[in-house]
Amino acid sequence: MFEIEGCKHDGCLLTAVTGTGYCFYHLENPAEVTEGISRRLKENETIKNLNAEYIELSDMSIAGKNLYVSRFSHGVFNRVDFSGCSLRIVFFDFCVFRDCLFKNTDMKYSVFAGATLNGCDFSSSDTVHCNFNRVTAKGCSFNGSDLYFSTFAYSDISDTTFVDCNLKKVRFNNTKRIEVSFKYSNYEEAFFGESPRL
Amino acid sequence: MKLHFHFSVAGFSNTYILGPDEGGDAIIIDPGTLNVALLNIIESNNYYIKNVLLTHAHESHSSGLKTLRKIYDFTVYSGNKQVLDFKSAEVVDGESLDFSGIGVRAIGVQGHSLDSLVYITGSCMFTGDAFGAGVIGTTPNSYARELLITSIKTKILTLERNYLIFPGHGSPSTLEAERITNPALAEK
Ligand SMILES: [Zn+2]
Repeated sequence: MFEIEGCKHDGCLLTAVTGTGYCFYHLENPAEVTEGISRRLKENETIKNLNAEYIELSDMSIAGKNLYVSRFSHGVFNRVDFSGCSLRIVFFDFCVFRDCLFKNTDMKYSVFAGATLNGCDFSSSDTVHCNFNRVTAKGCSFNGSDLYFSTFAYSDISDTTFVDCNLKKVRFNNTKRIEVSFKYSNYEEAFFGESPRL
Repeated sequence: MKLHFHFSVAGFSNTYILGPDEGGDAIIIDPGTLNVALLNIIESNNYYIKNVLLTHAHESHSSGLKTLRKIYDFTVYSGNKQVLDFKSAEVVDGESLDFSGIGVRAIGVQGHSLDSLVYITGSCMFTGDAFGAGVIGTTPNSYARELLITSIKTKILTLERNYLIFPGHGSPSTLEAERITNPALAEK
């Protein structure tokens, strides 16, 4: 992951799925590679240095696993259970998540920028230093979570709850919010106005 | 190669460590502080801090040098000849450095400070306070802000490939995400 290999297909600018040399569009048998990654995720307690840009996973559980320095950008996840996972430096930017569970996760320095989150449950989690900029979140719960230093700037958030959360240093500037609840959370310690700079 | 992060409450800054899988000489980027947690990362991975890269000399990114020096003998690399009480190898815009096979390219991105550098190694980009997730660095005046935005646009956004972005403060990002989600960089 330190050096992500590019796809070997002539002119392709996408990255190669770890161990294959090709991106998902240029793999000879993407279904087989997806199956292999799915097995790797299920059978190992700790997964590190995995690049699987554009992967699609459905109806599986990787609950309780440790994911370190890995990349699933532009992936599609349907009903995947990440509950209780420990995530460090994991990239989910521009992914689509439908009805996924992230309950009781310990997530730090991870990226969901530009992702679509539909009906996902992030409740009772440590979601610290995570990047949710410009996400579209609908029907999600972050209840009971520590969101310290995470950012949701420019996001479109609807029917989503942040009840009883730690919102210290969380950025919500320029968000569009419809039916969003911050009940029992310290929203006065979050940024809703002008974005703070570095 | 392994990448580690450490968050320091003093200065709310990020420190990064790059070291070989099996331990050995490691690079530390922006040691804003050296505390027990950071020392544990270094020692539990059997690292020896051989080189220090500073994205800029502000204290929240360099104060850890003092304690670090009591333990390790390292060379400091930054955009200056001197940082705090330490001599520094002065890195200039476009310079390529080699740390036992780890290639690092420095790009000068002035605006937040005159000595600001962005370091690229492998697929990782350490951006200091030039820019981070959805934000750019603070600047002393509007001229410096324009300089910063122009530098990022001409030197960073023109890079063809995607990079994983590790800023001096806040959460990580990707260059692809910043192109699309960072409002200051989307300004015409
Ligand atoms: Zn390809």
